[in-house]
Amino acid sequence: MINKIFYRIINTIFVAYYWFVIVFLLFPILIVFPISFVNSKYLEFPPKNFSFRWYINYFNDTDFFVATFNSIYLGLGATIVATSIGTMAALGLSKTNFIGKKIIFGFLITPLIFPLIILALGLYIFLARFDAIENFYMLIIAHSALVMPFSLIIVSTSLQSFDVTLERSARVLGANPWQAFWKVTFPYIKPAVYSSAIFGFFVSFDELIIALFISGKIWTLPQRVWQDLRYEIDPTIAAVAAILISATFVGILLGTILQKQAMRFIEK
Amino acid sequence: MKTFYGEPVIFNNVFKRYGAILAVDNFNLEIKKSEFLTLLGPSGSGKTTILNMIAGFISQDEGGIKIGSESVHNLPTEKRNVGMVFQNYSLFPHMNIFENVAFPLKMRNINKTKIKDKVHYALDLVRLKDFDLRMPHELSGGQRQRVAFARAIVFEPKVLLMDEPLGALDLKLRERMQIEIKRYHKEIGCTVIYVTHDQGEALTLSDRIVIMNEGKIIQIDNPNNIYDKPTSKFSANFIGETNIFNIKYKHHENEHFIEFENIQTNKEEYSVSSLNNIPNLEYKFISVRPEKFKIYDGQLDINKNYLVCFNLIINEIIFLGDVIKYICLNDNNYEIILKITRTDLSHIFKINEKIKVSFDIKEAVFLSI
Repeated sequence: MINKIFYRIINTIFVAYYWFVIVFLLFPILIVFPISFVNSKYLEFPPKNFSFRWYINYFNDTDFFVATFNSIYLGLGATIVATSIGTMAALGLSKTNFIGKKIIFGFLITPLIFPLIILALGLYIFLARFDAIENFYMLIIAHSALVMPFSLIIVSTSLQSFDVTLERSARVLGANPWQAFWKVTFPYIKPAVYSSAIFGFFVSFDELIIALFISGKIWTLPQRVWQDLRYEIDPTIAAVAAILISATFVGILLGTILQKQAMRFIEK
Repeated sequence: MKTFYGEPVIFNNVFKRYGAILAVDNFNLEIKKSEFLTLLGPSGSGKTTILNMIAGFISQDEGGIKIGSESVHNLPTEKRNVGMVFQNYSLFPHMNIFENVAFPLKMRNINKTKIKDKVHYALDLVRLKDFDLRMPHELSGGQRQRVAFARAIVFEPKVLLMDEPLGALDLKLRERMQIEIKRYHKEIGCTVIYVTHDQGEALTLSDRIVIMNEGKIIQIDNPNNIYDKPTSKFSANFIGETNIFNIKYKHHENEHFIEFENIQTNKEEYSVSSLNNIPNLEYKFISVRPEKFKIYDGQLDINKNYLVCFNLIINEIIFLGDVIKYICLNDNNYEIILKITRTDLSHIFKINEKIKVSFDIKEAVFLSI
């Protein structure tokens, strides 16, 4: 009897703790939404008047507009490069077995664990030597390196459950290696490839530090926001943040759905 | 669609090494056109390696393999035109049943109406009509295996490879599928090379069985002879159960005699001159199947020269339904297995009961290795 009450209390405490953490983590993100609809010139909470003026301001600001498209192009470019390379690396590593395979895998995912600011500094010094600062292609390559581990890890995970006899089966039934890959292996890893591409896109889209170091005057959206925060805090950035958060949320949701789909064929 | 016919498969002095291990050791075999041949052996005996070499997944280190009259050495897997059924079915999970079976036809650029006809012929053969739009994960194990079979034969391969296809199914289903596979083979008539470690399956299905161990062929023969005339201790033990007796071979007074080593028998030596095939001097063992023993009931004339008779103590009784298996020990703690059919209910023994049994030496198989 006492035991039962004791466990109920413990249970309630943990549930309360859980919600406290959730709110604590989400509140700073969610607070942006009401602030973005203020009518005043300053960031204020709770907002006194409701308006869309800062949204309109964002869409009318050429600087923001250019920065947004820079970020989209950058994200797309980095995603295409990183997803192709990451997928190929995952395929290569899954099909072979050699000494040092794990070392290569570890090496390929270093951008994920390496302090970003050190990476950015290294890139800056390296690119400055070749006079390649403020070069959009270099920015794409730098972001590709950052994003590639996501593809490698997500696609590798999906390949772990891939039955290699499926590919053999395709071969013996008359498919050449190229056909066997596109008809059998790729459909299997496709959801993983797409979801890793979505995650990758948002990693690149939100990235600030590397861009700050090497993009020069080619401003990305995070950089533009950063600029704003430093010099003239106005509620436009709240509007931008609200849009960014919404877009990221939808994107990640889509990615998660795709990943769920990837698990669909795997037998229990 | 009419039935089609197989091609022979010929192995000439084939070797395959994995590091220091000889996986296939001088393999010579001619598999006849339209034959159902089973490669039977314990795991690691090289039987799957042989299959993979025919399919072209791995290549031999030495020797030649021919399908029909064509050497396949430089032929990539997809050009060999062999069908294959895998143990784990290996159906493409993202394709429905129709697409799975149509896959080999699509790879061969066959036109759509023909594909439809052939796929439906194959699905009819395996009794899976109207399953076109189902997905593999919606099917039971047995149904999946049938789809795998339909897919393997739909493009009319001359040779069909089956790698433990029933290994993942339960016993009842396995027995039903054996009958099915036999029927398919009869209808299609392609050469089937079947790999299994299940001796019952091999005996049921095959025209010929190849017993393999450590990359070598131990014996090739039809199921009857494999069971009745094993040529080595390994074959005798691997197929069914048997009792091996060590013997000494003697020749005196112009007659051939044998003497048992580890067992106290009613006579010291038995004349074997009267046997149809007089065994030669190299024989060191005889193999006696458990069902060849008779319980001594006083009626038999134990003085007959071909009747071997001895005492046993029953150590364990295994009830198998139609037969009872007795695991017995003789005076030297040497284990002997008897199988007694239950038609005669007068012989029901208990553990530790002493019994006297006999077998006819004319029914024993003489072995040298």
